[in-house]
Amino acid sequence: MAARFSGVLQLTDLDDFIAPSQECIKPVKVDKKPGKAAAKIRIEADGSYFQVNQDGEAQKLEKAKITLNDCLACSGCITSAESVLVSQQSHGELCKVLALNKAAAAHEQKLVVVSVSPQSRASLAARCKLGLLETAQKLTTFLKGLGKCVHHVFDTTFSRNFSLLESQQEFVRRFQRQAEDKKALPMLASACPGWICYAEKTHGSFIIPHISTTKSPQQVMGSLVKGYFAEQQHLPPDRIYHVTVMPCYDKKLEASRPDFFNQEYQTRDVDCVITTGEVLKLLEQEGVSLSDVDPSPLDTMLGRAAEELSSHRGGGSGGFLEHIFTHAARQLFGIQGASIHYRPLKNKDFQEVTLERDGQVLLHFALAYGFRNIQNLVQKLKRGKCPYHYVEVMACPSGCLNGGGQIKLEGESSKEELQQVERLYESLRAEMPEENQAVRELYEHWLGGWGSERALQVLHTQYHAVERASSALSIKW
Amino acid sequence: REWERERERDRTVRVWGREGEWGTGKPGPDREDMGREERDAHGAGRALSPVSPHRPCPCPVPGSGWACRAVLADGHQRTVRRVAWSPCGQFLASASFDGTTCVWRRHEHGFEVVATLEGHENEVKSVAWAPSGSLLATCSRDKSVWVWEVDEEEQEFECVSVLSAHSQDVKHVVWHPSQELLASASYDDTVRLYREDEDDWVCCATLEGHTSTVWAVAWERSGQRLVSCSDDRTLCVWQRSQGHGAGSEHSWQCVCTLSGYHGRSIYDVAWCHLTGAVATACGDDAVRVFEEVSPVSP
Repeated sequence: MAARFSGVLQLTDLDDFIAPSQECIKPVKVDKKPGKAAAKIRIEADGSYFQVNQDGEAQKLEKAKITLNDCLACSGCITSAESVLVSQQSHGELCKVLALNKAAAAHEQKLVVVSVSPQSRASLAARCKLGLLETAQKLTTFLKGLGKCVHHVFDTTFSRNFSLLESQQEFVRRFQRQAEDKKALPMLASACPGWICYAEKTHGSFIIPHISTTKSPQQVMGSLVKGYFAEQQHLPPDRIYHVTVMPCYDKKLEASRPDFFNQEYQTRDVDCVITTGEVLKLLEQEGVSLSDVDPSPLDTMLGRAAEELSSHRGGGSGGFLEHIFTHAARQLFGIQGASIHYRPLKNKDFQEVTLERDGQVLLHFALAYGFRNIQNLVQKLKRGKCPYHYVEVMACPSGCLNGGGQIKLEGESSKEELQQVERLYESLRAEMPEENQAVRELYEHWLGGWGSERALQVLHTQYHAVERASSALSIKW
Repeated sequence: REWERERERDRTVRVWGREGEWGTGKPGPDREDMGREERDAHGAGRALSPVSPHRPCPCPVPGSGWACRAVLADGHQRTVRRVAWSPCGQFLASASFDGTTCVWRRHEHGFEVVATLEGHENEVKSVAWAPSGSLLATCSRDKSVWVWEVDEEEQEFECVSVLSAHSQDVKHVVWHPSQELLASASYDDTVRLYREDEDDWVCCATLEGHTSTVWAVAWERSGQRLVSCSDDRTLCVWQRSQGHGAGSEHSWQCVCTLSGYHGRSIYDVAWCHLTGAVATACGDDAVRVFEEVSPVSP
């Protein structure tokens, strides 16, 4: 299986040459206890290693294990063995887990929740030639039938409300403190893990202060499912298995970040991410055509059946720029209903939006999608020549609807298919996050109120610059 | 060995001129009179300054008449792998193993850095200016080819495209003599061609045939043919043919393979735009010159 990480992630440190100085450094990072003399190593017949010290005592040595996280966070060995990187999360793995869950004893069985992203839904709808609501309803039936133990199917549009609201607030706070804090602006979007991984590895501590601390819709959903929903179901977080359906492979890496691992219950907020393409494979595997499936009513986390789907305006990558823009215009300058006109710059993946009054520019925002635009943005920032207050940064050209995990046709028709996906996506009624009743309830009753300490803790995250292991690279002419 | 030690310490670009001629070269000379570039064993670039257009291309007597006019230090932290003069002669680009490409501007008293192009993950192997002077191409061991656009007034360079068509280390990039068509040579045994398409660049052709690393590529003056040299000890000459039907892509065919002449890897190739002769640099310590033999008419 060829995993298609975003171009941004692929260019970061991927190389098939493992020169002697570039061997995996992870096994070396073991806590060394100071010893008096060199220990001897004895290898048993079964391949296990024992350290024999001077008094003849033998101590079994732990095998060095490398996990997905270790690889991500390290720049030591560089390998593009993609099977290693994604084998922990795939539709094959999901089927295994579901089968095991079904066979498990009642008190050990986990409640399985699947959260579907609106981008994945739009891609499936386009491929199966169905409407969005039909797709959502039929997908609910199909997913619930998987392994016969999927219990709930949610829509991450719900958790996106929180990401948008928190981003709006965060921007206003940063804007207001820009005089004292030089790193407050520009604020850069945080929903795209391809961008985050690249920023942490390549530009580290320089750029991290600029990145919004708001969690992505996927991770907010993780916190809600393993937090609020678990409580409602009277289950501890580790008795829920949370699967998400996403438009890209980079989201698999996001789900496995240590920051999204619950230490107390030893469980991840999102256990498994599968891509839109993998859902299609599941359909094919089960010999099911989505159009033949009966529709089911849609689930919501607060228990009421959803009548219809809703979306957010501002494009297929979440709409962060538009929501932050209109909110900031209102909060900071008292301008209601500010209109948004996009001005394309060098290419269609780099666009500007400004808010002006009496010839003065009050807000200057931009969209930067794709590696070349991210490059130019970061270089401008480094030279102190970045004129923007906020930039919606996404790793994939054309945004999330064109993610690496979406269902795509090859060649000429791929452009048309993307346009169809975009049309479907935009066809839904857009709602304002502030007006969502369920969101307000959750803030009040579970998050301790708007802007509370708890809301900050649950809905925000942090980033870590990755140290580059300096290795003497063998020069290749 | 001594030259190796020198290479490790020396991360400079050196500019050489004919004695007594500094500053007399007119800007914008004809291509035939442009300074040629070479890489020497020191890993530093040696760029010859442009020569007055009224004199024939000089063949300097070895060792005499050339003086080092400038040493450009502090630009790079590691080996400088390639240098290239801009078509107008006022700028010099240097590509380095430190992952950056420096652009130097020439003025009366020397050179100064006007831009440092960052972004490649690791060693930059080659840099080349487009014939218009408004585009620059770089390539790297990170398998990508980048196209940069020059903003004359700001003297800034912005990345216009990141092309990841090759599956391995890219060794060389070179522009078509008159069009904005770019060729790249790679460790993945192929040559690839790129052109602009709407607001992005795309790989429009893949030339397969070599059985090992392609080290370099050179265009014939007409731009209808190019020659590639490889680790597999052969030269391949590729010819452009018209695509079928209106608006379809050109296709490239290998029309000649020169094998059996070189004892080792062929590291560089140059196609003379005056005489049509092709010269090669080979690991068997020889320089060879090839001439096209006209086919006998039937």
